[in-house]
Amino acid sequence: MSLPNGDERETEPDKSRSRFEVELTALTPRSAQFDRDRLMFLAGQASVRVTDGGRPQRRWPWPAAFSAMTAVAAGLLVMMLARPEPQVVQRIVRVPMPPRADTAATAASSALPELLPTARRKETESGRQMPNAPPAAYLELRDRVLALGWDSWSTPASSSGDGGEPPPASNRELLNYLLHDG
Amino acid sequence: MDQVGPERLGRLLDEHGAALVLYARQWCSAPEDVVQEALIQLVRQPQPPDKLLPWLYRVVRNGAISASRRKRRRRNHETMAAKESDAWFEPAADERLDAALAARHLASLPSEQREAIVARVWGGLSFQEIGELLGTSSSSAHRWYEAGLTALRERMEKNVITKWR
Repeated sequence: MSLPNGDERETEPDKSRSRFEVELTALTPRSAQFDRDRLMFLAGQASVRVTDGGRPQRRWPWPAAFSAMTAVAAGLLVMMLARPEPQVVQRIVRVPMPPRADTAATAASSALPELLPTARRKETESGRQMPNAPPAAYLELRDRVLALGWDSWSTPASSSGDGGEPPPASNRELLNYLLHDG
Repeated sequence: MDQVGPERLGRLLDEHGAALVLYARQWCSAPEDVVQEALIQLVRQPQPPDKLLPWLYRVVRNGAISASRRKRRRRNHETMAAKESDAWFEPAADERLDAALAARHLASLPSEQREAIVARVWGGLSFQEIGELLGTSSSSAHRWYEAGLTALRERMEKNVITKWR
């Protein structure tokens, strides 16, 4: 077997070798059973993978990201499994409720006679009463209807207290009253 | 110098493939795989090593020993090598040396002597390179080589004499 060229290896001439050494050199190693095509394919694959613009390809970012995310997921899983059961705390909260409807109606009807004269008085005192203002009976009726509903319509306005003319019985009557007096 | 290309790889395979396989065969039973992996590893190098052939022998040596360890055969690799030593060489055409006998006696040598002989005779490495390969000095490598060669010649001559008697 000939020595490779281009290297600084000792090239002793054959004549200086012992006869036995020469005879050994004559023995040919058994030919290798290489799949040459497969080797060339793998070598080409390796040469493409290794270079990225002449520099060795960095292979750590994706494995590092994968490892980090796996660690975070594992940590969250452990935290979820090791989390203590939530404690149920019973607390009584008292919330003030608005009065019921019938109670409110009763209270309104009892308070209305007191409130209405006060309101009328305030309007008079402030001087803002319009010259063509509707009669007090109408206002009283209006307030009553707004406060107690239509059921209170038929109730006679006994609380007017001024002894004046009766309140209009209908809208038309009220309109006529307003038009004539206005 | 750029990466090792396909032409150079093919030339390496043609000129040194058989010797590399013979070198790896001392340790493992699938030396072709080890040599192939070493060649692919060579291609992966961005810059080829300065001393390419010694580098290849070192990689093949490490790969063969690792393969041997993987298969848990390191303890009896001498026995295995002796068993498979008949297949180390092609049958000699001129019959100056019995190839099978030479292989058998070569396999029975101490590992450092055998390595030195294989790397020197069939690998063509210098004693300096053999010393680096085996982790010793060039003089020690030369000493192992001479001792191995002497032992091999004596055993073969003894065997031939016995055979002729």
